[in-house]
Amino acid sequence: MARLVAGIGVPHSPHYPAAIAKDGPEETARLFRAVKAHLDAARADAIVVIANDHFNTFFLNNFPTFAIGVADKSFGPNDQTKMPHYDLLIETTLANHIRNVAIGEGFDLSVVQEFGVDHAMLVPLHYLTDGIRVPVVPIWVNAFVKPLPTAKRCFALGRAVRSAIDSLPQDTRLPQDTRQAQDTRQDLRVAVVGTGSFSLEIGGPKIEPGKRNAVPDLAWSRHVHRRMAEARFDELVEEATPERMWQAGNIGGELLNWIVTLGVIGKDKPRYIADHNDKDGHAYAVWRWD
Amino acid sequence: MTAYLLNKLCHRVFHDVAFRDAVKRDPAAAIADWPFTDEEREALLAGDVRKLYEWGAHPFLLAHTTRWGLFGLSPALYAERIQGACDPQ
Repeated sequence: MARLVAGIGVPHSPHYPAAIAKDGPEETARLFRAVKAHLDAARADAIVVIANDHFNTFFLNNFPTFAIGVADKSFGPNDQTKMPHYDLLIETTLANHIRNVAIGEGFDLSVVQEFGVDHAMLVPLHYLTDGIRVPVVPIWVNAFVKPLPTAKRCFALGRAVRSAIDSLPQDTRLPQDTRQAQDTRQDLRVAVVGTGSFSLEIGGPKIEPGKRNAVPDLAWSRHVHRRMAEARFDELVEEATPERMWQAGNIGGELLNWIVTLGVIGKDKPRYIADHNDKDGHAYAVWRWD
Repeated sequence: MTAYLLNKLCHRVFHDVAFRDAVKRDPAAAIADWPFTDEEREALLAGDVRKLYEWGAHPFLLAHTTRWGLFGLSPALYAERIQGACDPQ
């Protein structure tokens, strides 16, 4: 059996690791540490990480709307992000089970069996774990190649992932000769981490003079933050139309990574959510059930 | 296929260091074999990111060019030229 013990949402800027040490004094480092303390306390045995690829694992010759990594291992970063190289273990049994359950529920996830991952998965894992020793399950969501999946569909995918976590058969994770130990064995403790921005423009007409990016819609970001803090997920799903997210910047679709994560979480209010600041279009939030 | 080819070029300069160096050295020669139209080739070599964006180049990929000053594009020049660009249909 498996049990969801924590849900987490954080940003994933590729500029963080080179500029901000994990134990540094910056606000970003402090917020990641605050979230990490929760993840540490939740003692996750596996982390489902939900993010969008930035044309590093995939390209437009074959770009999945939803995909899952089912392999023994992975590595990264595969996008020249200035950060340590990591070799990752994949929680293959859980990944396979999520794939099967999701397909059974109508989500035809693409399967990816030999791959690296980019900053969107690795930056959060870099800050939130000690060396990413816990096995992961990567799930990719198309957040910036139009047309995006709908928010409603993303939330429903999250629900399917949750039903997979809740229904992981016990005996698939145990060799025959350890069956006797099952009675005393703990459930597989699963955390889900979704990442991205609510408002961000890169390389498009909304960028600031002299820069590569901008946060064009702090009002929307604050609104999304409030919806999450109040656990009003249904309203958020209604409001997060393609047009509204695009207005918040050409990377605004990364909210969909969070919405899949909210689908996994279900309906609860966060245990912790950092105050929205007035320069970044993202949030740091934690849900706990342990 | 226009937008696809532009995106493929931006993707390749990001991931293929030898190709990126060739584009830095002699952009016209490096893309000579790519089947762009004359108009596309001209816009690319002139670093006309506004046109390229309006033709459907993905902004995340297009912005890679400024990392290495490809096609004469500094971040400042890129930001100046992209202002007022219309979203592709």
